[in-house]
Parts: sequence; C-alpha cells; structure tokens
Amino acid sequence: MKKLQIELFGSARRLAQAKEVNIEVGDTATFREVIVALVQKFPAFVGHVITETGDLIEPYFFNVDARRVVRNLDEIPEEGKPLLLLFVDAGG
Amino acid sequence: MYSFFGKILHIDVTNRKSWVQSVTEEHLRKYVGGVSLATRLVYDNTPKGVEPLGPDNALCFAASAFAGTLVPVGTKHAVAAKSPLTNCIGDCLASSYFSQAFRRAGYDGIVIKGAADKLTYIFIDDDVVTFHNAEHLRGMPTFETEEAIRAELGDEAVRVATIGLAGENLVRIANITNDRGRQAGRTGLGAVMGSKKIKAIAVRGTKPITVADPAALTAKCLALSQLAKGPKTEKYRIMGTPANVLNLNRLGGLPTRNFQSGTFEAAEKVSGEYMLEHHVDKAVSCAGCPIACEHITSVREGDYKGARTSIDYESLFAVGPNCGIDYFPGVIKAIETCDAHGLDTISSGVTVSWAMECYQRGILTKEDFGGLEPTWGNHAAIVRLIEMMAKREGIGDLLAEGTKRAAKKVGNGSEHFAMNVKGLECSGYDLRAFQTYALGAAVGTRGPCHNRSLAYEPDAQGKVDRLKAGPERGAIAKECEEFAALFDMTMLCKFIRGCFKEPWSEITELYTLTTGFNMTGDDMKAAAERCWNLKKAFNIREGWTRADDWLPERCLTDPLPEGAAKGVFVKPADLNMMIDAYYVARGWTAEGLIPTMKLIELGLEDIAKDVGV
Repeated sequence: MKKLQIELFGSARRLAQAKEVNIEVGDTATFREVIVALVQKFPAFVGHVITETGDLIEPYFFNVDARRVVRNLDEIPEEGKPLLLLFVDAGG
Repeated sequence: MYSFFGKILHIDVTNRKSWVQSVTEEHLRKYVGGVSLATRLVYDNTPKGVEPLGPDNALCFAASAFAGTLVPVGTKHAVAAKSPLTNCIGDCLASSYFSQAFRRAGYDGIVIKGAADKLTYIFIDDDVVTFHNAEHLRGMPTFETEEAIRAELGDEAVRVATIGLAGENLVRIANITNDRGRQAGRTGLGAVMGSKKIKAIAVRGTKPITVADPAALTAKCLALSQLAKGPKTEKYRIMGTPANVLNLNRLGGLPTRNFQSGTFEAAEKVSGEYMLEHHVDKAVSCAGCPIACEHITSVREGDYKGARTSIDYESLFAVGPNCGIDYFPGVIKAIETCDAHGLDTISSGVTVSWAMECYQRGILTKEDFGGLEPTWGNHAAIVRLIEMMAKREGIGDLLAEGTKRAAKKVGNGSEHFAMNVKGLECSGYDLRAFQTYALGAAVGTRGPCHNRSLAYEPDAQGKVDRLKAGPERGAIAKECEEFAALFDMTMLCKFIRGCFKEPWSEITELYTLTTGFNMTGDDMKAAAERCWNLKKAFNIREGWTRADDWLPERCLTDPLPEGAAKGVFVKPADLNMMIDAYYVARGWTAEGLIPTMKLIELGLEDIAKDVGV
C-alpha cells in the first residue's frame, strides 16, 4: 500500500471540509482507484467533483506537485509527491 | 429579419442630432454581432489617427443576437472605441438589463461621436433620442447616477450606462457601468465617454425581439439552462471566480506585490473560501442567466463596516495580493471605491501596486504621495490612492494615466516593473507561470487579456508544459483567441463553455435558430478569424508595429522567486520564437502585418486597401 496526500480546492475542499486528505491505495493503483478512494471517503463528491461513473467532472483535474497535469487517469501516482485536485477557469 | 433590426443609431453629441443607418442582413451575418460588429463600427466611423479623447473618436455599442431572447447567458453587449490607454482597439463586454433595453429600443448598434458643451445624458426612448443636462450629476457615483436618472425620467424600466468621476476626469483607466456593477471595464472607454461630456446613456426599449424558430430555440434553451445549473458551472455558483485565488497561488501564478512573486503567503485570508464564509450576502445573476456567479459581499464590522460590492477574481487579485492586502474588508472597500468612481479594478490595482513598488524602492517618496505611506498591505493608503486617481488629485493625477505613461514620466527604472502590454495593465495570471498565455498577452489586440486570449487554459490544464515556451504555442494561441471570439461575437458568457460538447456547431445552431441566418460551424470559425483580423487591422491602421507585441521587462528578466514556478521567467528569444510562430499560424508577415490576400480571403477587401501588404 502507498500513502498519497491530496490537496483539495474549490468544491472538493468545501465538500470535504478539509484542505487536504491522505488516502491509501495499492502499489499498482491508478488515478482511477484514487478517485474510488476519494468517493469512499467523501461520497458527497459524486455529482459535484466526480461523476457517477468515476470520472472527474470538468473542469477538475489532478496535478502532480503543481507542476504536471495528469492527462490519463490510468497513470499510476507516485508516492511522496503531493497531488492537487483543482481547476483553473475564468471568463465572463 | 429575425432578432436583429437592421438599424444602427448614430448620435452626434456636438449638434444634438441623431439618425438611423440601415445595415443589411449580409453585413450582420458577416460580423455576427458583439465585439466583431462593434469593432467594424469603430473602424468605419473613426478617421485614421484619431485622438482617442477627441470628438472624432467613435464610441460604439453593439448588440448580441441573443439579448432579449431565451438563450441563457446571452444578454450582453459590446462597447468599443480607440483606447486612450493603448491607442489600439478597446473592445469591452458588459451584460444584463441595459443590454436588453438597448436591443428592445430597436437597434443593433449605436455610434456616438462629437462632444457636448456641458455634461449631458442621452435618453434613447425607442425611436426618440433626447439630450438632457447632467451637470447636477457631476461627480455622482455610478450606482447613484443610475437611480437618479431613473427617478428623473420617472420609469423604473429605464436602464442606464454611466461613467463615474473617473470618466468625467478623463482618467485613462475609467470604465462604463450599467445595472449596478456590470462594467465595460478595460481600456479606458469611460474616459472616451467623458471626453464627449456624456455622463450617461439611458435607454427605454419596448420592441419585441423575434426569433426565427421559436419552438426549436426554446427546446435548446431549456436543455442548455438545465446544463448551466449543473456541476459544470457549480464553481461559479458557489464561490464565483474568487475560487481561483488558492488554485493560482498553489500553481505559483498569483500576482503578488506588483508581480514580484507568484505566491502570496496570506492567500487564505483573501481567498474565495474566506470570502464565502465571512462576507458573502448573496449571489445574483445578470439578466437571463441561470448561473448567478456574482457574489455580493459586505463588511459587517470594523473599519469599513457597511462597504458593499460584488467581487470577482480579477478585482480581488488586483487590489488584494497584488497590493499585499491580506485584510478582506480592505479588498471590499478598495473595489467598492473603484466601482463608485467608475474605475477598472484591474488597471487600478496594478497601477497602485506599481506606485507602491516605486515607494518600496525609494523612487517615489512619502512627500510624492502627499504624506501617505503606501507600504504593501496598507489598505487605507490604497483606498485613498484610488480616490486620488479618480479625482486626479496629487499623485493621483499621475496614476490616472496608467502604468505605461506614469512610468515613462517617473523613470528611474520604474519602467521595468510597469506591468502592462501596449499600455493595458496585466490581468491576474503571472505570465511567467503560464507561457502560452504569455504569448497571448504579448500579441493581444487590446493588450494582455485572459478573456480575449484564453491561452492560460492549455497551460493550466496541462495540454502543454506551462513553464516552458515552444513553437507550437503560436497555433495554440490562435485557436484559443478564436474560441474566445466565438463567445465575444455571439456574446455568450464564457462561463457556460463547459456545457457544450461541440461549441462551434452548437452555438452556431443557437445563432441560426435565433437569427435565421443559415450558418455552419465553419462559417462561424471564419467569422471568428475575421473578427480577430479586423481588430488587428484597426491597430495597424493606428500605427501598431511588431515592437508593440511584447511583455513587461519584469517577465523577461526576473525569475519567479518562490512557489511552484520558482526560477521561471520568459526568455526573450523564446518570446520572439513564439511570436514568429503565431504570425505564421495567422498567415501574417514576419512583421505581423496582414497580407492583402489574407484580408480578401476573409472578406475584408475594403480594409485590404488601408492596411494590406
């Protein structure tokens, strides 16, 4: 098992009432399983941050260490690097 | 003709006359509406080399085909003129009930030229245009002016677009306000209106807006409204764009202390989360909007008790972290002061932060500030400086010119950190941390604008490495600009963009069902490219050169000192490489000029004669 630290932003932070969360997933778990772990911990994410089928709702995405966006949820996260669940969007 | 009226109202303020020009269906279809139509009106109605604050500059309003219909988030209008801040095209958007009233008065555009001999307001009452003394409204804050004119005309249905004290005093960063807080904010169009001695434009519109296919359009609109109430827009509903504060801070791109850093140590205290918990009274929406992103905030106790304003991310970054403020009531008071006097909050915050850095570095002294000590975070000094700008009082007279002119006058190295492109102050994304957007900001026709460029999206969403430059960014920046133009022509609010699977075809279908103009997504793409080239052509006609497509020196020499983008800056050679690639993607020359054949291909034959090479 590996431990992952996930920083939460926007609705994720509001619904979790936490700035960050620690989860444990299997050594070969992908980001899809990270999403499952998040839903187990915060069922309220469904419909707001995560779809019922286990995808992130646009515009949310994972970012590794504020440097690299995860483009493929089948990727395996690396232990020790903070993950961000966030969005950046403007307009009007 | 559906939706459109085929009429442009011309108003000659000098001679107190008005007349109506007919426009063809072909013309409206070609320019679609909004920013594109407004820019064409400016191009056609201003002589080359026009003085932006002179009577011959045309202040132009253009409608959205969707305003006054069921199409959600489409009740907007465009305002454009030659900018007194940039000497380039100044094109702005605003929304809500004024947009509806203007359409229902029966016009697709309004062109205002000349200058009155005393402060005046114009009343457009459907087909009748009258001119009224406004001397008694001189200096009146924007929101009060709206109320005063409504009371004077005796009709609550009258909608008013007005300037504040800043516009009256020809402050180059003055805006035009309507519906208590919707602003045509950037590029100083409030000063253009002030130069014509027009305090306000009041409109009463009573004509019906017809649409080509009411049944099909209604079905589409109901479905889109449902989507717009769903999770894809939730972030705007819950917290509005201030939610971006913590996100951008974490990415190292939150402009702090005049862009000296991309992270603010007290970001939590000026975050959307903090705002929601301590200051939000309610969320409100523009006319015809199911999202309701606008969060009305107030100060409930302490120094600024009673201050009240709506807050979005751009205003918040500019007078908050960018001025070192970690005290939310101070942010509210500063924004309220900008709104009351009709000042663009972004340019105001960035101009004040430039002055604060001058003070930090000893370039300007306490005496220059009339005894104020504008240290970072001194919110009382910031509020006072905003007032002084609007009044052109003391050092406010210098700041009223914006950062480019002020830095040129002050010198002593202050140009290095004057955070503007073409004279327009930078918006709230540190350009070093978002390098595709750095290109977009450099080449933007109105200056550095996240809303016109949208090139921060591929950066933030990881479609490219945001901390590095690359030649592929030229084509990406062009694509982003044209996607933005799709919304700016049809005048849909960009907050709904996530609700479309195929935005070009879906929005074009809405447009066709509304106007009856049979257009394809490809037709709309061609119109977006035409729109961007039209704005560029105006700038070229007014003297733009490649040297104007550049970034503030700070972005090119000062690495970000901390945070996720620590050590990053935009290398000048990289910027040149991206600009070259962008010009190639646009089909322009290496000097950024537009070939005659390109203009002809876009249906701009008459403009080719002026600027084509």
